[in-house]
Amino acid sequence: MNWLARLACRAPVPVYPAIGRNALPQIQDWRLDARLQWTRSPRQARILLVAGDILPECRPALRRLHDQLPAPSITLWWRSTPLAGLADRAVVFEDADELGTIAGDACRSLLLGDRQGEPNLCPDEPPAPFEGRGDHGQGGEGMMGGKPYGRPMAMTAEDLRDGLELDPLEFSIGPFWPVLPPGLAARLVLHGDVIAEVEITSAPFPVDLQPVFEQALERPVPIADLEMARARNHLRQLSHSMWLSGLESASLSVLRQVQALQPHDSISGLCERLRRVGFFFSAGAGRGEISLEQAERLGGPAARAAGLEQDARTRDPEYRKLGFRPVGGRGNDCRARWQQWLDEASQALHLAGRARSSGAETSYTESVEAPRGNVQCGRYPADASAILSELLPGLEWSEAMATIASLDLAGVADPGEGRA
Amino acid sequence: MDLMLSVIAVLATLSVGAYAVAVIDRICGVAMGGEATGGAGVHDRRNPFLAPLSRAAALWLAPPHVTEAPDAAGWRLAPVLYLTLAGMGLAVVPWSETFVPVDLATGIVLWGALEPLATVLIFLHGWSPNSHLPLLGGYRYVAVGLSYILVSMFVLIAVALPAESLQVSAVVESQQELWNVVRQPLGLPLFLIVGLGISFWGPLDFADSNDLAGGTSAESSGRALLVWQFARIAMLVSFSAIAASAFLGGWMGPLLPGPIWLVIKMVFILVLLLVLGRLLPRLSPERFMTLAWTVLLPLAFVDLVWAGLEALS
Repeated sequence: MNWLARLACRAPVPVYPAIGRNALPQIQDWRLDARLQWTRSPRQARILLVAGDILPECRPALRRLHDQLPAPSITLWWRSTPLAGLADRAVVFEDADELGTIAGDACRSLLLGDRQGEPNLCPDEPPAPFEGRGDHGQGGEGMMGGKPYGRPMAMTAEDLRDGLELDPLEFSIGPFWPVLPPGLAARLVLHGDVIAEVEITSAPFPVDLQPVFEQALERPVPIADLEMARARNHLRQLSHSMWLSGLESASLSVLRQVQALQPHDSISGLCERLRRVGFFFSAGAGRGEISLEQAERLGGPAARAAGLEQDARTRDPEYRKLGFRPVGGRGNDCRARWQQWLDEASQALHLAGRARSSGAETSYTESVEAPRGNVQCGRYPADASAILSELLPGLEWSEAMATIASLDLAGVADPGEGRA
Repeated sequence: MDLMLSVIAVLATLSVGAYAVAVIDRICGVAMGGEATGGAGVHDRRNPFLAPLSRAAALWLAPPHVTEAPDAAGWRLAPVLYLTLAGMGLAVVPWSETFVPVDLATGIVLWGALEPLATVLIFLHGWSPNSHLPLLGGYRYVAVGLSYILVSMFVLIAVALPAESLQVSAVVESQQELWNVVRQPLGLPLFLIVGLGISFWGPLDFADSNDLAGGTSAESSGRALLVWQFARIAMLVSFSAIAASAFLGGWMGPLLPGPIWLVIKMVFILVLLLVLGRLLPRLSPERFMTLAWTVLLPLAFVDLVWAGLEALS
């Protein structure tokens, strides 16, 4: 055993996640595991982790992602069906706690050469052939434009900002990019680092309603449980926005706080810390302003932040007894939505604390206010990713990514439609 | 003989310094609750002294990756040249009254020249893989680069004024009675921003940020990534040496020998930068540019005028 390889075995395992349905919270919990290092790009990973169910339409993208890891690499499957072509050697596991050990073993076997990597799934040829119009056969005009080797090259066209004919660049992102909601894929046209056009090519994977919210549609459930689930959800969303803005340390400590969250806990320390370091001025603040109509489509915290008083909890007398009044009205941009998450999480913890001591249960089962928005029997919040094509053009890249992260876009799956 | 000693001093400082930065950053991270600590049997992974080495070994052994039709020469050269810039910057810093690896009469100008060159190399690193997100990282860096480079120029000229010389050793000696951090209180805070900028660290990480999947290094893996990360940390080390010399009296100090004092001051600057890097979020490039041109640059003018008035009196 080579000493360098032995030293390398002690390093955290570089893993890239392909996040499927309902796997996001688990992926966030895994971020706290010191045995794993979550890479930002598949190029830096040795292990591909496919977590959760991948819808059939995204399987070709998963095949491409698989080949984007430099060989040799190993794929692990958590609650997911392995792709054809990998099924014979697939490492499938169920217990989330096992990932650290399994990934560690897999990486060690690669480092020590005990195991071959997986074969490529796509043919080794350019996705778009180097032929077509243009002086160099690249498909554009002159020496510009076209798709040489499948990578779109910039072409001149009218610019959004200053009238100079600059460099529209067209490419696709998603559906397995952890910056975006799982499943969301889009074709973009950029002018420099400003988004000019967005076309959603794949909607985010629908998310299952958490069991406690579903039960609330059938029978009274403890308000404390509902509110704790809400607080956890909002803080998880916030931690992603924080990670995106470069606050990686603070984002991890929020995730740690989420795991140990109790009713009556206070998050005022977190609010104060975020205010002090200027998080509310980070990329996205003051941008990503949604219209009232878009707010209506989104529902949930984004709508309340924008001033719509939509909250099913107001109809529940038990909530009124606890002194519940919806918070909101801070504004329609990213900053307002970050603050809304904090306000609602803080309120939820407070409500949970009071409800736990009084043992209060919901009394209204017609509809329930889930973290994503209002849910009624037979009417679940629909996917809202289409608003991105109106919302993002004109935004600089980091503002656009912060805007996407500040919205809860994925639809809620209707259990009636045969959940997997 | 002197040349050998100089080369060894610079190379050793860069490598030991980079290791020290990795260790300090990890300790800061753990103290701020920002390191993953979960999982069974991870005690040896928590060891901050071993972690940078094992990560480096893992990167060294990781497979390389090549994109379709990259500018192969540019892609390989960018990290190496960026590392070279860090070495050049460190070479003009005096370690004691007599030992200066390269005692350039225009050392301060050299530092001023390194910053735009770094911009060129960071763009090269983003452009040459022939891929979108790295290219965007490069674009973004070039867009914001000038706004902190100008600040740096004024701040460095201000420290050269009392020394009446552009030589770094003269700048250090001019602080015999009073360090520049006191004499020109605006200087060091402004210069720290330059440090974060040139090594695109923390709040000024416009080139390699999370929202670009790692930006200019999104397509890099294995040894190329290791060299790039090493170079970036080395630049931070090199910056801490020039900042310590320009504002904290460099090698000067009582009792202990000069090099020890310089190291102590470098560590102080590094801890400041690393804590700031972990604490502050990234602004949007546009907001940073507005801040740089409307607040930081005028403050740099004030710093220069202050230094001028102080030199006249």
